[in-house]
Amino acid sequence: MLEAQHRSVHRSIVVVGGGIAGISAAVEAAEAGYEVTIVERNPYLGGRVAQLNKYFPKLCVPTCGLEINFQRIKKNPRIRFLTMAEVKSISGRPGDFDIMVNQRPRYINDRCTICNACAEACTQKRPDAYNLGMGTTKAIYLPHTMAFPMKYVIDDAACRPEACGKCVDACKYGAIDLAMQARSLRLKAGAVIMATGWDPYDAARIDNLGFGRSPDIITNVMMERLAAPNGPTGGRLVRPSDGREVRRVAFVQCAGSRDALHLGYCSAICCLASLKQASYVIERFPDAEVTIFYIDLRAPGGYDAFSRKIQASGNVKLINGKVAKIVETAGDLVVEAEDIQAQAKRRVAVDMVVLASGMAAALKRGKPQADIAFDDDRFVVADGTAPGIYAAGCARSPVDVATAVQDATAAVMKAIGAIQTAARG
Amino acid sequence: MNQTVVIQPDLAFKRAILGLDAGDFTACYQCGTCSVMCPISPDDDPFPRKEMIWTQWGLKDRLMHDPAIWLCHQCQLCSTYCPREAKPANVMAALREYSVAFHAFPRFLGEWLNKPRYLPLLLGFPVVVLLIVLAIIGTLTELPKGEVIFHAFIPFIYVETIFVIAVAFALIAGVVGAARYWRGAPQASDGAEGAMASVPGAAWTVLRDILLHREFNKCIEKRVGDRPSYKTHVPLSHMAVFFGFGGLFITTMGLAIGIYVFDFFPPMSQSHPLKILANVSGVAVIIACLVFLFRRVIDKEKAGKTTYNDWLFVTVLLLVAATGFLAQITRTAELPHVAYPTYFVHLVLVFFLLAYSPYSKFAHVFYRPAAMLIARYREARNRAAAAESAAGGVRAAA
Amino acid sequence: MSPMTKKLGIYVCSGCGIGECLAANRLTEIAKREFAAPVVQSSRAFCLEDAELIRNDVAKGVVDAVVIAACSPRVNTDVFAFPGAMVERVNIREQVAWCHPAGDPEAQAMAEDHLRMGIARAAMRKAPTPYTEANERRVLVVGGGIAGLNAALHAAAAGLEVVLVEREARLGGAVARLRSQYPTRPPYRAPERTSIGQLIDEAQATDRILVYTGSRVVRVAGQPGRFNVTIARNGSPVELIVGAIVLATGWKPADKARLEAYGYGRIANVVTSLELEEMAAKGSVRRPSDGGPVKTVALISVDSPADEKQIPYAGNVESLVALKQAIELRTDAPERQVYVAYRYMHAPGQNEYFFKAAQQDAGIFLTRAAGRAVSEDGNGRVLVELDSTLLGGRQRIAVDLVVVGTGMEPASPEVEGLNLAYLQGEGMPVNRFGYADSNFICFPYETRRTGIYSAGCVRKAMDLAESAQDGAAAALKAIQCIELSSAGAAVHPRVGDLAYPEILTRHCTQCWRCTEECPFGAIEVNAATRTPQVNPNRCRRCGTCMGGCPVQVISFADYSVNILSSMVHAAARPDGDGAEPRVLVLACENDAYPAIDMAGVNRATLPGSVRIVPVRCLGSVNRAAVAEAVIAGYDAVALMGCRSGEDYQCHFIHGSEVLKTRMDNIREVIDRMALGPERVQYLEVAISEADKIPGMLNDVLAKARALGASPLQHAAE
Repeated sequence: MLEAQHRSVHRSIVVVGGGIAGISAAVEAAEAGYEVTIVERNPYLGGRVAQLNKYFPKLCVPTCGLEINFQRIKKNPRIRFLTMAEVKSISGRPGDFDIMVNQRPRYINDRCTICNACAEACTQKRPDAYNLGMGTTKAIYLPHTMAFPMKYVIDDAACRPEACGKCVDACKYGAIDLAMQARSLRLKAGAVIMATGWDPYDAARIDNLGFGRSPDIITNVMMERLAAPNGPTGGRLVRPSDGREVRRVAFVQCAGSRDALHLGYCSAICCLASLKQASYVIERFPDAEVTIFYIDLRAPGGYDAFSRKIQASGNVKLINGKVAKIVETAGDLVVEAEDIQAQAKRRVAVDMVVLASGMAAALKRGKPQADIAFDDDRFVVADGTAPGIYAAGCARSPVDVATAVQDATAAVMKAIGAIQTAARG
Repeated sequence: MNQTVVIQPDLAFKRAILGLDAGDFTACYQCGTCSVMCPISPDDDPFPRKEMIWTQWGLKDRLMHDPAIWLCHQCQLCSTYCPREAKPANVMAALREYSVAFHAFPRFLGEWLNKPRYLPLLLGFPVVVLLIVLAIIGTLTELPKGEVIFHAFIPFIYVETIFVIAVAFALIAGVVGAARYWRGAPQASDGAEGAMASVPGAAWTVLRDILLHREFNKCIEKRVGDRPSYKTHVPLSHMAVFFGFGGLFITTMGLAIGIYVFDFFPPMSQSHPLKILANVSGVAVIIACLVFLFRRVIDKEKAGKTTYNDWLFVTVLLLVAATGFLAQITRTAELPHVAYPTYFVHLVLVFFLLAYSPYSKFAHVFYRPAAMLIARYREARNRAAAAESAAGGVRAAA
Repeated sequence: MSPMTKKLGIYVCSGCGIGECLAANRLTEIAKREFAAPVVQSSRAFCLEDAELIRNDVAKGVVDAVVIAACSPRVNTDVFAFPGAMVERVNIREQVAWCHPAGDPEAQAMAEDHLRMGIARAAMRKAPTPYTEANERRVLVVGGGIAGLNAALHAAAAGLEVVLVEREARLGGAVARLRSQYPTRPPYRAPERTSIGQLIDEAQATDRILVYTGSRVVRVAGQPGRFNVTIARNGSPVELIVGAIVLATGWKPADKARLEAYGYGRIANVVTSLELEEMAAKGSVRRPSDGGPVKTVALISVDSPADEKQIPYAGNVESLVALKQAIELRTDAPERQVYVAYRYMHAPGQNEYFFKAAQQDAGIFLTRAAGRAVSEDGNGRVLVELDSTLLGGRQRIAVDLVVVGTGMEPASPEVEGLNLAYLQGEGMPVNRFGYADSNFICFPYETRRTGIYSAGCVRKAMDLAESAQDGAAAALKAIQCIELSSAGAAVHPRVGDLAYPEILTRHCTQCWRCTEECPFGAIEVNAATRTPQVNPNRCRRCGTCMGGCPVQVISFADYSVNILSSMVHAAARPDGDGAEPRVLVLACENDAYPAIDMAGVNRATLPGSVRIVPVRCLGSVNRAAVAEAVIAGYDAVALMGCRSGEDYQCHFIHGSEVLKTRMDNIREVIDRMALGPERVQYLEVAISEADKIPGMLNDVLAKARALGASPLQHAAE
């Protein structure tokens, strides 16, 4: 009898999502002796942090930590991962889950040596998703220079296989297979960790802030790409519209967050992100003028020291009041808010406006068929969710990187506990 | 406001405002979106953000003498974009309603107008007065014979007397209320040098803005964003009522002059210019009132604050115009048994509308101009002060 | 040991554009001619089918040391893993072929030298013998609060034995004193009961958990897998052995002296939020001064902007506890009026809904305020002056009771620490906030005391829900450490590394620098011999000890000063006059080396006269190795590592830091050779700064050119 139960218990974990939470969960579990499969939607691992230029409060680069984690994954035979894959359903019980996965075709097999010959041959272009549409790539492309796995991929929305096939001829290694089909797999696992992360809230829906009306009104995630050395401008801070250097920048806090019309909750990281991004401007231009419009400057605990450090630069002005209006006049953008401490309306002319648009649960895009409980904002709630399934990071709540890692590690512990308990019968 | 202010939150007041269909203000977290969204809120000391937290803190005295509450023309953009759905527009409306009762003279009438249970009493008074008059004339017991002539039913001299008294009373009460409000208003009392000179000027701009509905139009022209505010109908409808009333006022005056100066004896022919003006005006008022009512009904809470007080005013307004027409029609149709009673009801309603105007929503005709005057006056004073300091600067430089 | 004792197999790949840029056949030549390698092969792509060739050679036993000259060691790690043979990767793709014009003789020379260096290293590497003596699987959890209980219960659920030590007579810690916690589940509007009682019961009911209440840890010696712990249980000592430790000793109220500015201590009716919580938990809330009723309360956060050192206060916990207490003070007495004054309302995530719920209570009055002066009005009422509020200007309110934030500081190590019997001290090394030092963004649990993981408020001020998570997470780390230690494998970041420092004590001068410089306190002094002694499972394999040793007696089986020196010498001599200066780049394999790879991926152009050698960490670079390079005739040596200082990047805490201090020493040596100290340069580069690499290297080159060719070049010949 006990035997029977043992046979049906899998000492393995499926991690849904390959962002910082998912990766951390995977390596922590594998290094504790468990088999792990990461299921990632993008063609590369790293998720949102792979798009960040720097982390607050250390102003260090995400690739630094990612590099270590990727090395841990490469060296650890217990970890395997599926890219361009999404979980359709999760069924079963602790120790014995069935996970159905759909995987889109990459059209590139393991023979790719990133020699770049294919991209040189390719004639089709696509908007560069990694850079949030700022710039383009070929239809066959390397997602980004630090991408892991470092393999090319074909965007079948942009490629015209029937008419073209130039890349196939260009590839010396037979790495391109245009006939590759989408496939669905069935994974077995003892527990599941949901680390599905977040999407930037669609700023175009905040109709009074003019995102989309002026190219110089961007979101904070776009700002990360603009400042990144491997970004669309090679790290030069210039206006998308006319390439003018941005010395005067306004940061609009709570653009979508803490807003019943958009995201009712606080996205928790935007204040710190804006303070961090203020440093991007200041370090480039000694005469920079940064204005941050806020309701509450949420830099709690140790982060307060960081907030003070940035403010000490002298180039940062904080205004207590939410921007509600942005108008374009004579090449400038004029943001308007009530300066509440001064009890007067303030209009500030700037070169560029950064909307601190918040984090929306990625599961809002669509959730797998599974016994998972959500709150009204589509964040996973522990009670009501089936035992053996645990959420980590921004799948649970909008959190910073450190908390996401903490969360992931805790989720692994719970997953292992569930598996072991099942094994004991 | 640099000296320390000792504050004593008035929880009763806060609850009162909560009760006036403005309950959501508690959720306001002071971002100032409302102040920016408001097309008519000034750059210096804008509203309604500060009114929101003053209300949260139950700072009754500040609010009861705050010009801002009457400067608001209820376009509702603040409510439309409020991230906390705290409905600042409703709060401003509730504060206005409360302040009308608060400044009312005599105070009890202010209270009566807001309580349905006093409605019979308020209606009863004109009814009784008019019945007494009818009894004296004798038309109460038997209606006049022959063609329907209201003058025969109740001679104009009586009507005029009653209404002159009523309106005089209303004017006094209204002015007293407005004065009470004005007196407490912060920036009104203390004036800089030569500021008084700007009062007539301010008064003139206020009058012009009212006639041209400038503020109302700003609400439409200077708006941002694409969200519906459910108040876009207001400027036009208000203009219709406003000038409709004007028209009716002129006809009434004209009629009075006709009677007492030229010994003219109504009814006038339908082709008479005054008659035409009267009918056009009446129609305008009716249509506007119907629009107001219609929007309130179909937009429900989106229409903004909706209290007994709001319903009462617009209904009475509509009925006044309606009964007016009905009376005229039934008169020309020679239906004495309908015409005379209708005329009677019409008179009662007109009395209600005019005599109680300082306590109903109609009171805005007293308070809003006062507030606008305070605001314009203040602006002028600030300009003067600025000019002075500039001059001072120049002198210093010299 | 000489190359001959190893059966070398040299595999030169010409794929990925290598063939187009370099003459692969000349590389195989070198392998045959200079090293007489028994097996030398080339392929268009060893990472594909031809990997079989290598596998077969290893299987046949003709090769036991595989040298693959192809792509960067950072890629294809899995493909080029051949059990039974050690693998040496030579990077001629990213760092040579991809960043030089085709047919560039400089590039060819660079590739050839890289191959020579790789072969030299392969020849000298030894297979490590792991340390597997320490494999105790029991977990010690110190602290019986919310974090400790969660750690214990989760470790037990995973099947491990747990010893739970609590200072107090009963479990529960600070949480047991709380009335409730703020919401953790939708709709996030009402306070919730804490789960502490239930956790305590579970812990006591679990037989895998051995609970020691009224006990303290008085000594911890040994290393992961085998910590010797002494516990004082009501005075009497208890000895036990554990494999890993979770430190969950919680928090203590912050320095109350700093609350005086807010009236605390001066005024009877000013209490801390913790005192209020206890008052409420016990029963009714009354005025401390006269026991009178409390009709009005002001909850004020103490994060005044004037107060620079407010870290322990300015947290989410302070804001959210204030909201929770406001709501409860109201539910207790519906006519009570509660004021909440804060600098910033910290209600992140779904807590925003709780903030809204508090606002919607008509009896709660909230405002931001910068300054908060507190005084008495004589008749028992407290006057609170609020500056720059949302109401406009300064306001004053009179209340019956003022509640100030308590502040959370990590439990003091002296009182509640582990009393580590470590040469480097008995406490955990802490950062500027007094929290256990670590790369706290990416690797929050990797403390500087391997096998000891802090959790809960001793790690960072956090609330109940987060502490519970933290406890679970730390338990996982403990389990992981036990798993790896028992196999003698390293934990983060060089996970699975089996080699550890070996000390040739015979030649040790007993300066004990290694014991001081080790970021993890892995090296103790042997009481008998007075020589350093390594605790392999404490070691994280950075090699800082090896880099610091003035007499070079510390080495790893597969990494040593000798190996580096021999690599340095393996490179061909510069051909003297007119040639470009020859520069040796020692690049940290965690940041600098990947950055150079990325420059290659971006097809940047790098100078061909540099020779790039990856090192584990700049901390592992010994001055002798640098001196060797100069002696070997290099015109300059560039040491590339990561950012040091307060916001250090080093995965081994202070590798680049110690290297920097060591630089003077190194320069001095070079100076003594009258070569000009500028020949050795230290460069900081972030992994993302691939774009800066060409500039940096050219700059080094320019400096070297200015210095002129090293006089030792011909001497060396």
